[in-house]
Parts: sequence; C-alpha cells; structure tokens
Amino acid sequence: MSLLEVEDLQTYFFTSDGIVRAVDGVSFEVETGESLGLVGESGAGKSVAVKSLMGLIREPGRIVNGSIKYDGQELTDLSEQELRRDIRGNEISIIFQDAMSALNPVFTVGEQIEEVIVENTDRSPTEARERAIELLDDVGIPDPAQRIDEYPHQYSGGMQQRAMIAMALACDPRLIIADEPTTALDVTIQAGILELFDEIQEKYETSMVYVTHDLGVVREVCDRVAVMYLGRVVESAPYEELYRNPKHPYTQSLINSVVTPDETLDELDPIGGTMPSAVSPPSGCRFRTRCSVEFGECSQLTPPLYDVGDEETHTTACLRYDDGVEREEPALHESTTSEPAVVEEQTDD
Amino acid sequence: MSTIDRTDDGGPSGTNRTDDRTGGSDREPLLEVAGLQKHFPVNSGLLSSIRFDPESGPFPFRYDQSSVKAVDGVDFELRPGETLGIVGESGCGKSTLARTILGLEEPTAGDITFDGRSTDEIPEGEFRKRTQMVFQDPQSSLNPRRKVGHIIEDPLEGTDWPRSDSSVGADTEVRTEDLSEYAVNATVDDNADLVVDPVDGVATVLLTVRPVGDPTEKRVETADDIAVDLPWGFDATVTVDETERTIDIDVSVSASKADLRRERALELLEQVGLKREYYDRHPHEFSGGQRQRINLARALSINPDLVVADEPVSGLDVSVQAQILNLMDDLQEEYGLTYLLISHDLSVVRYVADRVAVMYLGEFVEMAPTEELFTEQYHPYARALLSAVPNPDPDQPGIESVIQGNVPSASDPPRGCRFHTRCPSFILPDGFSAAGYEAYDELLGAVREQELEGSDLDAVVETYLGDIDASASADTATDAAGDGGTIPPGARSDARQAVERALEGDWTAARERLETHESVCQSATPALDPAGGTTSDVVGKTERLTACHLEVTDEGGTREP
Repeated sequence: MSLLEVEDLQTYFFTSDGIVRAVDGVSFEVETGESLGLVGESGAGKSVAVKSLMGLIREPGRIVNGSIKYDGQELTDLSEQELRRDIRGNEISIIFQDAMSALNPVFTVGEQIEEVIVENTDRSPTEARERAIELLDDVGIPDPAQRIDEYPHQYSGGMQQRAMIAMALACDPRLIIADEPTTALDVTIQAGILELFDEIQEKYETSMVYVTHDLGVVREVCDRVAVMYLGRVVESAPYEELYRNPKHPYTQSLINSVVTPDETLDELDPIGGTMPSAVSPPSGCRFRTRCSVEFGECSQLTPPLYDVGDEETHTTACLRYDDGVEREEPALHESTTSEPAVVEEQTDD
Repeated sequence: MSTIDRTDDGGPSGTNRTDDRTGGSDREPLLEVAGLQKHFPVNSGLLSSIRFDPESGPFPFRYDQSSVKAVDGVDFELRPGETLGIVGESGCGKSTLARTILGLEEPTAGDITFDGRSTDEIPEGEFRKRTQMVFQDPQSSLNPRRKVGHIIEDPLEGTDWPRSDSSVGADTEVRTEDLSEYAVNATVDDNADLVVDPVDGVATVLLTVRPVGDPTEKRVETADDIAVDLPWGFDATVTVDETERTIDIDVSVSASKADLRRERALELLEQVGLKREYYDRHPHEFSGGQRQRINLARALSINPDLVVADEPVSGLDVSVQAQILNLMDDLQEEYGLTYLLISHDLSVVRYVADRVAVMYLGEFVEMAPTEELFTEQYHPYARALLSAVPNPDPDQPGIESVIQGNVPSASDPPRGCRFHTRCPSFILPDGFSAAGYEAYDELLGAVREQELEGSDLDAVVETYLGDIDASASADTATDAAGDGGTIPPGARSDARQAVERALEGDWTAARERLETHESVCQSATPALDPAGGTTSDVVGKTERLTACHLEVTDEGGTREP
C-alpha cells in the first residue's frame, strides 16, 4: 500500500466570477520513502492540490470530490481539529516558498521550532530546545546553539528556508510537502538546499511531494514526476523515463521550452499562448487549445491516463500518445543528446 | 510605370541616430563604463553615524563613515546592437550597477560615457529618451489603476512625442525612372517637420509618377497620378504645376498627438505579441508573462538605443521565460537595440547575451563571449555558479554545491581576492596544509584585531598553533593534511617571533612578519586581465578577462577540464 493515495481529487473555488476548477480530477500516489515531483506552469493547480492534502483550503474553496488516503486513513473525513492534532506537523508537514512570511518575525527561530515540538510531542521545553538545536545543525545552520536565539530577519534567505525545513522536520513527519521551496533563492543557495533535501530523505526516510515549475530541480530531488496542466495530471513517470520518452504533447513542449545552460536560443521552442481559465476550461482534452497534434476527438473525449507501453509506471492522458505523430518534434530539438531515446521510442510502437 | 522615391531623411539628429544603431561590432561603443563605483553610507544622517568609542581620545565618540561598496570599480564597453549579460548572486551589486548606469543612482566615482559623451554632459531629457529599463517585477512596475495603453504611452508623453522639429529639412532627392530629369521636379513643403516616423525617425514619402500623353515626353498630368504612402496619421497634399513642371507635396499630420500616440501604442501591443483590444484593459487582467510584454512595449515606445533589463524573466514560469526571451531577441533585431541584461540565472543569459560578465561583491571577476564562458570558466566563482544551475537533461551533470555560505558583507569585503572566503580553489602557500593554514590565518586575524588569546608567548602559540604538526617538512606537508594540519617550519618560527613582537606591543611588525607567509589570494587583489591563451588582437572582441591568481601561478595547470 502506498503511503499517500490521492484519487480523483476535485478542489473548486466558488467565486463571484464562477466556479474555478483549480484541481479537477487529480490522482497520484506516493510510496514510502519516495519523492514525487509535481510540475506545471502557474495556474496548473499544483499548490491547490498539495494544500488540499493538508486540509489548508479555505473559503471560497472546497474539496468537492475525491479521496485522500494517508496510510490507509481517509483525510477528507477528518475534522479541522483532528487534522491539526493527528496529521499536520507530526505526519505531514509543509514547506512554503516564502520563508520570510511563513516565519513569525516577532519570535526567535528557536521559539518557533520549540513550539512545534512542544505542541506535537510530549517533550519538555528543555528537551525541545535541545532537539531544535540538533535540527538546526542537521539543516546546516552554522553555530546552531547561538543562532537559535536569533530572529528570522537576522537570517539570510537561504538560512530562513533552512530554518523552515528544520521546523518541518521537528516532529519526524513521514511525508514532507515542499511548495516551490527554492524558487526565490539564488542558484548557489538553491544548490545547497537541494542537497539538503537529499540528505534529509536519506537520514529521516521521509516521503516527499515536491511542487515546482523547474524540471531541473525535479531531476535533482525527485524519483517520479507528475505533470499537471489546468487542474489535471497529464503525464506521470519516473523522471528519466519522462524526460527521455515524453508522450504527452504538453510534457514535450515543457521539456523543449526549459531554459538550460547547455542550449542556445535556436533550440528553444516555447509553448505558444497561455493557459486557459480554470473557470471555463476547454472541453475534452484541456491542452488541445495549445496543442500541435490536436484533432477532432480531442474536443469530445476526455483522455484517461493510459499506461504507456510495458511501463506500468508511465501513464499519459493523450488520445494520440501512441500515434507517433508528436514524436517528430522532440526528435528535432534533442537530436544531439537524446538520439538513442528517440530511436527506442519508435521501436516501441 | 515610373517611380520617384523621395526620402526625407529627418534632419541631422535623425540621420545620425539611425546610422549608429544599425552598426556592427567595429563601431564606437554605445556605452563605456570606467572605474565605476557606487557606495552607500551604512548610516544615513549625522546622528545615526555617531558611534560610542571609548578609545578615540578625550571625546569618546567617533563618526562612522563605513559604506556598502555595492559597485566597486567596474569597467566595460557595450557596442551598438550587442547584448551584455551580467550575472551574479543577490547582493553582488548587479542591480545597483544597472541603476547607476541609467542615472537612477549618483555614482560615487567613475565615468559613464554614452554614445561618445559623458552622461553628465548629456541633457537629462535626451538620455532618458535613449535609455530605458525593464524591471523584474512586472506587477509592481505597472500602475494598477491605469489602462495598459496609457501606460505604454507614458514615455511618449514624457518626451512630447511626436515632436515638431524645425530643423528637419525639406531638401528633395528625386530618383526618376523612364523620365527625363527635367520632367519632374518634386519639392516637399516644410510642413514635413512634423513627419517623424514612429520606428526610425525617418519618413519615407513614396511617389508613383505615371507618364501621360506622348510617351516620348513623360510627365505628370494631375495630382491623382501620384500615390503617396505615408505612416498612419499623416496626410499629403499633392499639387502639380503644369507650366513649371514641378510637383509640390505638402506632408502634414492629420491626427492629433494623442491619436498618434494611441496608434503607436496599439502597434507596440501587436509587436510584443498582444492584441490591439488590450489597449483598454488594466494590468491585473494580464498574466505575469503578458505584463512583462507590456513592460517591454513601454520601454520600446520611444525607440531607445539602450535597454537595461533587470531580471526580466525571473518571476516568470519557465515556459513563459522562453517566450519573453524569444521576444526580446526579435525586438533587438527589429529595433537594433543594445541590451544590458542583469540576471542571476546563467541559463537566461546564455540565450540572449553575446558576452557575459560575472560579478561578485561589486566587481567583475570574469568577462567572456557567451559561448566561451559556457565552454570553460576560468574563475572558480564562474565555475561554481554554473555548476549550481539545475539541468533537466539526465545526460548532463547534476548540480554541485561547491560554494558555501552567503556573499560576505559589501561594507567590509574580504582582503585580496574577494571570493577567497568561499573559494574551492583557494591557493595554499607552499608547505601549508588546509587546516594548517586555517590556524595560521586565525592567528593573523587576531593580530590584525590586536586581540591575542593567551598571556605569554608559549600560551599564545599553543592556543593558535598547538594542534599543528611542527616537525613535518615542506615536502610532506601536503600529504599530511587532515589530522591537525601542517605549517612549514619557517612560517612557524616567524609566527613565534610575530607573537613575541605582538606581546611587546608592536602590532605592525607582528602583522608584517605573519603576512610574509600569507596566501596570494589574501595578500593581493587579482586584476581583471586577459586570460587563458585567448588572442586579444581584436580589442574587446575575442578578449576573455578573468580576475584570479590561479592563472598567474600555474599557467592553466590547475584548471580543471
């Protein structure tokens, strides 16, 4: 059994402009010790999806359908109180993008971490402090015994994010949700944090759901990746499989549009247009309005997640995934690096 | 059918500017920055600068004059049509550099030359018109209460565009085909001074002259025979004088300035990939990528020569980043723009820059043509920065976090090479192991601060160098690194003597003695010199500059492949 099983999750926001279908039928699983990357553009519903897991959706939003099973327990049935007592912090914890606004500026970093520990465990304040220092040391804060008494503003951006991670680890959660934790940081600082995530996973054996728009980051920290587009998962596979053998046209464009340091502008092929509104998403396949291989049926049929080839772990929601039509594009753009992968793809069919 | 092309070349100013921007790399630089410094006082105001200091004589206060050296001696040239990317971490001074160049900050020292003239001498209005900035946050740089059309028109209004320019001449240059020279003599009425084409400051009046009557004597009969092609908002009245055999063309503006600006804004919206209908919308109705497009349209509205873009795509989704970079590239070609692109993301710079400068703590540490820099980085900081960029391609190497910690404070930058505190390739003096040098350096630091721990000579030496193996010779020193560390015997005895001096109160002598064994990375500031076997015969073109001691000491021997 997977640690986390999300099935057909639908989280809607009931606004005066209409119903925003931010998450509209999302399913994914996270195994124990596994790290799942949730990738997509802004507005894809990644953040809403992970906030739904934590029960952090507020009015006018609501989980309207679907099930979230954590370790066999149905989270959508739990009350706010039960979620707070049993789940948040000690089972699942979350790390946000903006550490500065997630930390309380009028308490020291230590006080905030100690509070989490005292609230969620039966440790004494003294033990909590010891544990907090230990945690700060684990996340690479220099001189933790001194710096524990400093206020968040005395920390640099990278250290604030490290403090957030320490706080998330405080009660030994089995699942950590990271919502774009390094997006606001310098690449050099990001590199350190990403390494830290690797170490933590090894040391604490936690599972992770990592939300990001950056495929490069996914490659560093995630085992598997689910690509989201306009409230749905359109493709899911182990990272290398996804990168070398993308089946969904959206995944393909995403890979081709990523700005990387080893390519030149000519090789860049951005997706045209912008994501349609989640208030009135296109019928059928939601990507069809920006898709290069769209055909008649795409507007009528909502593609289910098909298993790709023999790979049971690779699923994609495209009606034409086995046509081979869409494969010409990536072949053109990755001629130097992915030649073997492309050949393999064609023999698959 | 005959054609007469008549070009009104917009007067002296218009002509020059057009020529400048179409130029290649052999032209005079558009922008020259020499020795530029921008320091900010740490404390603002008289009272907050006063520090209590019991040791400063009879009056126990002193005036704190320390400053943050955000930009500390930067030199570069930017040629017309070129894109220079400046990369570095937060706090390296790259944004301050951009703001100082554009005159948003007053430089502390140094010269900025724009198009051959010092920026001090250029009238502010003209400078503003020829330089524009695109900011990182497309949300806060657009006024939420105003329509985007009006936002785009702002710079036009600010520079009073379109402006009537009385210096625009009305000389005609007539080219005739199938017509004898005297058959037509076109003159343009002086109302042409209002004719300023939105794109290049040049109006082209195209005349089609058709022969009538006797084919041997081709001439123009009526005004209807002449077709005049003008930009939107302009009218031409054509009169033909039969007896004088002349054509008079009176070009005038038929639209109000507001109409012309509106038309220009609509045109710009299209050029940046938006729709003309968006003119009446407000910024909040747009996505981040679209807002950045609006920012670009606004920057380009008055047709600047130089666009400074400060992290133009940092806040955007990856897929949108690619779109905006493509757009910037297209616009550069169309408008002949020169870009100064500030970014913390090396991949972004890779796409659009011709040359890249890597900045660290207010200084350039490496400057090279983009391709060369990405192929091989000479400065350890440039290398570290590149290795920290995540690459989604599993065939490429993953990230490496080779530098630790944050950029040191710019108010008290490290001595010598500013990167030495975080450098993975720090040069150890001969005979020292890493741990040995660390201990030695700590002693040196204490002597500088004039605060030694320990009361007598032996105690002090024990405190600082107690763990260090004294017996190791210089030959085995590097091998013995690890437990305790090693210091060459010479340095050890010098250290002892230095401590002796220090305890006698002669701190200067102590410091000088210790400094004889200091690493070159700390004792000397590396200059930004041509590097790595690149021929620099074409000045500024293929030149690679790097500010690192490694090159000097090892002739490339320590360079990793």
